[in-house]
Amino acid sequence: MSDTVKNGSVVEVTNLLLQNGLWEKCQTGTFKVKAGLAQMAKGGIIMDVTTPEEARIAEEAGACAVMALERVPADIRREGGVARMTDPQKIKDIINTVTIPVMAKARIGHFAEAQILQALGVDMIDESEVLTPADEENHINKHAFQVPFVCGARDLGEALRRISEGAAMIRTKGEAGTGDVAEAVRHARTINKQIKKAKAMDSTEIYNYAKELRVSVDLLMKTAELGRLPVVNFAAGGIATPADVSLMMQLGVDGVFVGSGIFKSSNPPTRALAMAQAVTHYKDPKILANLSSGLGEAMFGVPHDKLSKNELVIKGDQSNIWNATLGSPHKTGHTSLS
Amino acid sequence: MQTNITDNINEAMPSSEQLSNGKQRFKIGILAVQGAFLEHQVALKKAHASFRPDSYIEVIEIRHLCDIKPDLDGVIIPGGESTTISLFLQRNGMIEPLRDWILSKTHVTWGTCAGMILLSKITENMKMGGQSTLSIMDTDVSRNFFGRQMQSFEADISLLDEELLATAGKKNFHGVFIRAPAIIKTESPEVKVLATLHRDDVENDIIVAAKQGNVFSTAFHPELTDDYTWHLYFLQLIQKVKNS
Repeated sequence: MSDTVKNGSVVEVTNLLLQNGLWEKCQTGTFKVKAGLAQMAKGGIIMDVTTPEEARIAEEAGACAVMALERVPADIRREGGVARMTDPQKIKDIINTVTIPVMAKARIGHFAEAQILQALGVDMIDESEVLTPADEENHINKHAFQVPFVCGARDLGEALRRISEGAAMIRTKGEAGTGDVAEAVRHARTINKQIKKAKAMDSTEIYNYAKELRVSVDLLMKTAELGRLPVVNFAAGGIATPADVSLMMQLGVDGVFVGSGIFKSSNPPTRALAMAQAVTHYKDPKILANLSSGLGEAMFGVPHDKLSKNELVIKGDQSNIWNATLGSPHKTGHTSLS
Repeated sequence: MQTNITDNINEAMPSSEQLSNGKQRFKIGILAVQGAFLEHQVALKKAHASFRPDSYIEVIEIRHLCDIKPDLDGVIIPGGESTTISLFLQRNGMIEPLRDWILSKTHVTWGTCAGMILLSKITENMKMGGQSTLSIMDTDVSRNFFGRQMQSFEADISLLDEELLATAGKKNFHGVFIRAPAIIKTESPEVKVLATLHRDDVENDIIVAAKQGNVFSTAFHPELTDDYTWHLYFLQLIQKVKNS
């Protein structure tokens, strides 16, 4: 103990930030530390932003983190083409503008993009189906990284497989860029239903259920015991209004991601503020009524079942991009990465 | 089936009659704006079970102005994003009422991580345009002192306070630091240092927990570990204030 740190004395320190945050006796990048960041985001809203200005709007509205993107999902959908990691310069600009955590997306299986994002100092990486997958079979081995990952899931099997690969946080896949919350609801309900089912099983049945879900039995048992996913679980994909936020929170998610819903609406700052308040007041319809009043036009939105293949498929090689990642497996009959 | 449900409710929430039968009650509010408030609730209940099984604990979530009640014995301001929590408090007119509640001598308050920032009078590295705080403790706190998430870490900290050492029964505590702040300066002799982090490469030990009156703050997250020392310390402090 140094002389300056004594009870009752006034301590003087000159450095405001540690230059090199690491030293030998500390452990960084442990799963506790990675999952801890997700736990700190609970009860919060994470907003997709494409410029430092938008990031400031999100921070001022009360977002608990921002996701730095090249284009919001609605534009990726409309413009098509291969969607990749965001330009590092843009991510750096956003990191330098806001003080809240900055996340960024890497393509599924593209561990080199993830390595670059980690080197840039992003606080969390979203291995995202919104971007064009880089590996049709494998996801990134997320244990190998110091930075935490969030991954999308449509059911308990996907969620637990991503967790066993090292994901520190799960989100529903939903139907990004549509403004239609139906798929996010389906995914949240499916996960809840499957957890309830696992909970009701005896120790013999659970082995077979683990086989059916293609997950490790230990992780499934842990989930059944907790009665929830063993990591933080957010809703994402199609959330556009304070009411959507409340719906998802009441379905038991820990927080929400909002993508196109804010910056594709007519009045982003007001809507961002209302959505950020809604995530805390989700149980209070009277407050939600006030928050939802006079927000202007919500994003235009496309019901997910009205998405014709022609709208989504731009040309040639990209023909199976959307089917493989964003399409509903029930409707396209296409087996995507899972 | 119906009776079962009613029984459970009675068990979970004793009526005021039962409470007047001599059972002491701890009523704790957890600021549930954003962050790890459920984790605190779980840890608090576990700590209470080992501390005073003969008493009763009631934990409420503070989301509205009307939740800040004078009959609460203690309040926890959990970690999360300090900007998010501070903007929410400001927009819902909760800063002054919460500040008044904390300043009352019969109330005990504990802030973790973002809570440490909110309780401090001076904050470094604020967001553009600054952020309002509850401004209670005479400390100078630096946000994200250790860096970004890549520099988040787990490490043992040294406990300095005698009461805390008695509660813990050991000299160290395993701290989880997530984009954590630190107290870079105490501005008044009233501020007692509770715990520090030692590093060979830094001349002075870093202050990671401090107390002023009945208010204390920690830069790390005891609610993310299985060690309930700090929750126990919080309950003991409430007990002490109740008895005095």
